[in-house]
Amino acid sequence: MKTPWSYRQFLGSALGMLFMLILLIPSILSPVLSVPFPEAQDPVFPRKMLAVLALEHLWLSLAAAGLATIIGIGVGIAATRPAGRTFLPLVRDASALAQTVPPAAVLALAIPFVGFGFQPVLLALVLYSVLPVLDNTLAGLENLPSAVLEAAQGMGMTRFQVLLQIELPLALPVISAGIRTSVVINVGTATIGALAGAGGLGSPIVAGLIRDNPAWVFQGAAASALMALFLNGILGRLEKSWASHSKVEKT
Amino acid sequence: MIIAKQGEFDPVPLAALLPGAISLIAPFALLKENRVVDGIPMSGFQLAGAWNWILIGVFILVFLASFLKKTLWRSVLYGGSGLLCFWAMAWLLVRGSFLLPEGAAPRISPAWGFWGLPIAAYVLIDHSRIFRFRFGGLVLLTLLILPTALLFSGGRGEAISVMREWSARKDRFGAEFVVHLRLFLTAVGGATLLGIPLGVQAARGGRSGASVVSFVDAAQTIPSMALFGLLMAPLAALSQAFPLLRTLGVRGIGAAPALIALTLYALLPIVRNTVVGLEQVPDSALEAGLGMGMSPPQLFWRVQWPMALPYVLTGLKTASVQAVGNTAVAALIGAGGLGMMIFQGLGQSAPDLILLGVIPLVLLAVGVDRIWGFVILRTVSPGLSTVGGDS
Repeated sequence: MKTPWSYRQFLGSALGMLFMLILLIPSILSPVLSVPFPEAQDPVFPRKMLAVLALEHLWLSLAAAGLATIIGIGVGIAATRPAGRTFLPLVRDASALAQTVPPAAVLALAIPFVGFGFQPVLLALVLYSVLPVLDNTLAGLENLPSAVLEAAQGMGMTRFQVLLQIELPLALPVISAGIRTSVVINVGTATIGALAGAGGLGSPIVAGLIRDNPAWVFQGAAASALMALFLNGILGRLEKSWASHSKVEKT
Repeated sequence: MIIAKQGEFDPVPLAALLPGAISLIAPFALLKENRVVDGIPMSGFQLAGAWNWILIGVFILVFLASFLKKTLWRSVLYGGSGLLCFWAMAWLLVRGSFLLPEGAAPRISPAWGFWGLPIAAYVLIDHSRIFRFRFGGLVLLTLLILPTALLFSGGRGEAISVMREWSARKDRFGAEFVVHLRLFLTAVGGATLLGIPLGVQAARGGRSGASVVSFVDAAQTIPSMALFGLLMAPLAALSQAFPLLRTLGVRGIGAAPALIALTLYALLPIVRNTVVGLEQVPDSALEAGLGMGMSPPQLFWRVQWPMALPYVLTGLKTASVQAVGNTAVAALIGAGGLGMMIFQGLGQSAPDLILLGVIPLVLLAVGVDRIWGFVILRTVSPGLSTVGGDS
């Protein structure tokens, strides 16, 4: 069921779209930026178009989130099966510990071992963003009503069928919340990834800080903030529609 | 000793042996003549030399222990070999530093295989659960640190790359660490003073509580680096317009914008959890209080606040742990702190300098997390301890 868009949501998205358009088209961006930053020589970041940087950023964040989702759900399923259950406390403890490590630290630690560039940043993003997916997969699979699982077994379903047709669909809203968290974390950490040569929207921020050009910093900051807000909003809506589906299945 | 029957075999320690074995076979450390050269890779086996049988002995011990019946003995064996793995990590570095070539300041840097032993130690110690008693964490910490410190004492540890970086900038390291602590404590302190009243106010407003939570959730998604960047321009403009502010240190770059951004960031989980904590108080509890003749302030201080406290404290924990990491990012806009060394290390492609910044950063984050965990355990009324907060 689709919920009607409220006036405020509509206004918010329209404003966001407008900002995004201004940021993505250099010929509009240049005069707009010269209003708040009159002394900037070169208000628009010259090395790459912001649209290209945004695509790089999106690709890096989503690719990392995709890999993290596969690993996180896989480990989560493995640790909740009878054969892997002895690993469950360990997986829980390790994930809780790893989550207290700041993402910037994971990034900084990965670089000496893998080198500079796109791939080490991707690796660091995957390592860190596995955790929310894993946590939520565990929470989703562990908190299912036992009556439902017993009913499924009573119907003669195999373990695999129970997992695929009952457990995963019921846990989907919780798992997808974890995926959303991992995407949002990735968008943020990928900004810092520019320091390691990963490109993306962090590069105008870093270049602007080095060259003392606040207009560049502003572009990168505004675009990455908008991207995080947009992705969070879109995934949040998807989650809600999935949640309403699985509620229908529950009754 | 009783050998376990089939089906009782414990696979977890074998998962610890895998990273442990990687440490022994893969490059464990690099022997370098100075900071810049590539260095000679050495595996754990090569470093251990004639002492190899100790490492192999530990591994065989763990392997045999996994077949033991579930007894205290097994746990003790796991815990003991976990400690041995950790000590072996330090000992191998010391062994390596004796093999260093002559030079002005030769150093031994950890290579990627290095991390296998601490991972193995973590898996074994976590799985053994023998330190899960009151203050067991402190006992474990002492057992980990004391022998390591002894191994490194008397100048035996000074050739380790991180120690070399540290001794080259002792004063600066101390200063940056203090700056880091001060920034993060001020930000969390300010956010607590602002956030709890804000959250209480929002929760009282009825419908506005939900919109505050959704606003905060959206704001939380903004990357910390973007928030720093977005605050730079308005603060620079403010300090240009008002010279008085400039004398107070309000500029686009420096500690002031970092502090503002860090405080705003730390506000979010605090406000959120205060609102959620107050709103989850069941109506029945409020009605019971009202029925007892409590006045509104009594109702708040004796019913609502104690019941919301686990949530509020969890919010403070989340805010503090995040602030430790975000303070490192704040170094980019000239705030100083441990991030300075990380970013300098990245800029100079000096992994040892990066480690000098990252290791205390990670320890600080984990320490702050554990301290809050302890505080939450101690202050929350036992009847509420099952509630737990959502971060």
